[in-house]
Amino acid sequence: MSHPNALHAGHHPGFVRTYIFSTDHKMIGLQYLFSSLFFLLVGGGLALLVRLQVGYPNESLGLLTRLIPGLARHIPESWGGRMSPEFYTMLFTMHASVMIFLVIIPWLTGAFGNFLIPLMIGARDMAFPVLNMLSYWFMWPAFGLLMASFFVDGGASGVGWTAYPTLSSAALPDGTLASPAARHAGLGQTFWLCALLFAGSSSLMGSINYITTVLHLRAPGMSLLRMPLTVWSLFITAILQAVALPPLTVALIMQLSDKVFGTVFFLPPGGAQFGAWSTGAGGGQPLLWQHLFWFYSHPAVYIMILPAMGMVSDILPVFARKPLFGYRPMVYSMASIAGLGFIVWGHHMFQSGMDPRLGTGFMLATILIAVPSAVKTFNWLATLWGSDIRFSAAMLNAMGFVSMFVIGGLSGIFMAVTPVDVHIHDTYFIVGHIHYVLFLSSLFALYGATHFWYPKMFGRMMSENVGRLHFALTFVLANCTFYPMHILGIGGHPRRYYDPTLYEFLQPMQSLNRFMTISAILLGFAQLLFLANFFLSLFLGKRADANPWGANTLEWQAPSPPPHGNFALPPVVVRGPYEYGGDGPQDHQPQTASA
Amino acid sequence: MITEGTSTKVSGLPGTVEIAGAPPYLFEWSESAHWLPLAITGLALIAWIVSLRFKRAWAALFGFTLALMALWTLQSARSGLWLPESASLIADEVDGLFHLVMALTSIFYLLTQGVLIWTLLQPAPPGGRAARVHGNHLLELVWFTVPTGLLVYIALVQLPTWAKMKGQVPGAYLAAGYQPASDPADLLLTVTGRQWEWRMRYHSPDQPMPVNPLFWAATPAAEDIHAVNELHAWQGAKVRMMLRTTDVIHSFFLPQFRFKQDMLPGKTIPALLHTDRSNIEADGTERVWEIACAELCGGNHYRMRGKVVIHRDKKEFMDWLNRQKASQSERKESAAALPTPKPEARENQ
Ligand code: HEM
Ligand SMILES: [Cu+2]
Ligand SMILES: [Cu+2]
Repeated sequence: MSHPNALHAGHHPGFVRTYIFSTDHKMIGLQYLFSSLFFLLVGGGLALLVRLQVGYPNESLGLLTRLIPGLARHIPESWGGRMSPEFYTMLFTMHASVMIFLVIIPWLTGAFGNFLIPLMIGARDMAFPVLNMLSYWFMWPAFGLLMASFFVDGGASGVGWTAYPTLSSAALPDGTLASPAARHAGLGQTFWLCALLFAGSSSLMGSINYITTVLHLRAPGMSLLRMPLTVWSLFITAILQAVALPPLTVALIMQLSDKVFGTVFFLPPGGAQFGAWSTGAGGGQPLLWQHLFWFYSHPAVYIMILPAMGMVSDILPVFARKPLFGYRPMVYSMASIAGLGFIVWGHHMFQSGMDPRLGTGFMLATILIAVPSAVKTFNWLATLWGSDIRFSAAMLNAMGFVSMFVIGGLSGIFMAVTPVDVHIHDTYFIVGHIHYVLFLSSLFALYGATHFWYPKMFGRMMSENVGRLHFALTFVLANCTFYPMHILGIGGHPRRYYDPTLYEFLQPMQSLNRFMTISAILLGFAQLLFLANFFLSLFLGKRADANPWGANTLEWQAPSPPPHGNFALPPVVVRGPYEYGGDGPQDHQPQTASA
Repeated sequence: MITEGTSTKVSGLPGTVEIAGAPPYLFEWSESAHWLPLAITGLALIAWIVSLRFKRAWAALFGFTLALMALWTLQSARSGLWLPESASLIADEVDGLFHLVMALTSIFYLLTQGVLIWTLLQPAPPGGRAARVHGNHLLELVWFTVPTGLLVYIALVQLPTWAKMKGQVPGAYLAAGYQPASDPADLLLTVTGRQWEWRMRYHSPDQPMPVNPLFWAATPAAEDIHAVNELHAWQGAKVRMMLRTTDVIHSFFLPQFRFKQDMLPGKTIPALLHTDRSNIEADGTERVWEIACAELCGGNHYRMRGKVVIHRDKKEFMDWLNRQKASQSERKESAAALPTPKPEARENQ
């Protein structure tokens, strides 16, 4: 990897300013990328422990107890070498929190948003470089708090990533740090709330930066409707974040205040009675949390998919050597997903005790949001139709995204049918759905995007053969791990169960649970291929020239890796980003007049 | 293989339940759980090796994976790993909607995945270059309107079922859109969730039905009959359940009834259960219908197990109720009153 400032003579900011407290958007993007990969390992490890427990609920962890630092303290004597039920709840809570707030969102918007936006619109840097640096460094307290919480009294938060009151919010009795509602909802939950405040602030700083940059720093000729879909998607995502994060922040502060200062935002007038402990009178409403939380978290699921859609829309045409089909419908459908995304949050609350007539309204909006999703899918397929596909690792991952997003979208329709949702709500069906849209869609897009933009980031190529092997294994094993979840959910298998074998109606499903666990372990190992490919290629990868894929967008006109300031001369844009194929002298025409 | 351990409680589980007349499966989950993932990994490896020479092998990989999913779905549906036995007419209606959505989404699944796999197999465009086509208005119109039409149909067709499930009838609402008070019920009880059990309090059917069930739910009376983790009713009864919780959110889940409703601290949520079928066989044995909690409520969330007994007729139910009443009056009245502290669950506070 060559020195990013090599071409910028006479300006040497030194190691710390270059690699650690850098204000260069590319370095910040790479910092996000490396951190997300690290967090992916952590989150994946947590997931495997969850799966081990569900697949083999009555077996001791044996060797693992000694191998994983700190694990032993969560294996009480009384459970005979098994993890305790409380520890199990901590594992899935932390798995989801790490994956959502420290892997998918930062990898999509932090790493690719930072690296790509200025390059793709022909800017020298972000609008607010220092804010950008701050936004990265706000992620680390979040991670530190989440990990530290495993070691505090009572352990990490075990109330789920959705953190519903009153389980999560019960006030800590004076002078103690243990929650009366649950052993694992005390200090650990306070840490979790603070961690999310940091992660949220980080995203908010990034989003303000992206919006400003896209609006003000586009190169001459880069009209909005000439922007690559990656930029469109990141722009729309940034708007979503800017609107949705404040309510989440408010909700987090309210819960923190309930917990620490004994306010009663989420405690009902009659209070709550935890065993022999009575909270005294309240005056609030537990459902309020769910409204505030999902008002953020439903848009957040689109924050986690829109940039993936954008990047896939840019990868497909390059390797199909054919223009993206339906540029404008693609932009409009992303915008309408974002818009509708703000009025569907109640579909997470159909059974919550919310007025069922309200459920009908949310159902209608939710059903409608499937329309733009379908339009996007058909346009991707039409892009591939009649094309000359090049099977690069990036392309395979992008096609994997299209295939798997269909399944995630279709399973969404089941849950949007309110009477059916009554049965499958809070079962494994939901877990299947989220993993099809987040693991099998967003993560495939991220793998594809990493293969695709790697040469621009590091001036070297990742190994194609290893990349394709990683794809093949991940594709089949992820389906083995997550597809059967739908079947369990149809059978009524509740999510977040420590030991499903207690139930007679779940016992026939246990072999399926084991099948998924074994697939998950193999899947975990397959991801090491990607990591190895990523890190070894930094040193061993083939050198890449400026435009190894023959792509049109502006970042490929800059050297690989681009120097500080990105472009020697400001690029002038003369056409849209998807001029591929056709009978001209070249099979592609870059967005600038001269290559 | 993965963990070392001694307990073998789960070994010897019943395999998948075989439905009479169903064709034999291709494989048994219980036997294949361990080797199947490895075999599938092997196939992926082979696909990759072949792809080094023949690019079309990728179509095989996609096709194989997608076919596997279709196969699993069919196999599960046939082998009984599917919707649980249905206990009521409304559950049948829900299942009907489920299968309708299944059919419609399957068409889209086959269509989109089929096209995707075809694009992996398609011949190179003439001259090696694809046409520079940017879009097509007519196509966009078609694939906007057709899904919209189908989805609107799905949205409308489900409305009556939802209204029935939540007991919505235009007019007087008992509590914000839930059961209208006028809807007659044959049996009234409260179900109170708490960490980690369900407490049932039955209104004695000899007494006249209270005018205001909400008020009744808030005021325990001496003649009420209590039970823990057992929901009893009789076949054909309309059961009004007043769902409450004293501590955190729980969710009362009856898989056979396709019934699920969160219990919200501070609220009493009325729900109506139509019991169209009994789980007592002709010979008096009982098929197990379980109650589960569907909302995370603490470490022992998975232990909030209960059972449902739908007696064959009202008399059988009354027999149970009277037995329950007799054993209750034997005990001290305070022991049955709500809520009783549960010291053992708090040991580690
Ligand atoms: C066609 C589009 C979609 C529809 C109709 C849809 C519908 C739904 C519904 C109704 C639920 C609530 C289910 C329940 O809890 O009972 C849900 C949950 C969820 N969806 Fe989707 N969805 C769609 C696409 C997506 C996408 C693209 C993502 C993310 C990238 C996503 C992520 C999630 C997550 C994370 C949850 C569960 C959260 C939790 O309870 O932990 N969905 N979806
Ligand atoms: Cu949602
Ligand atoms: Cu529970």
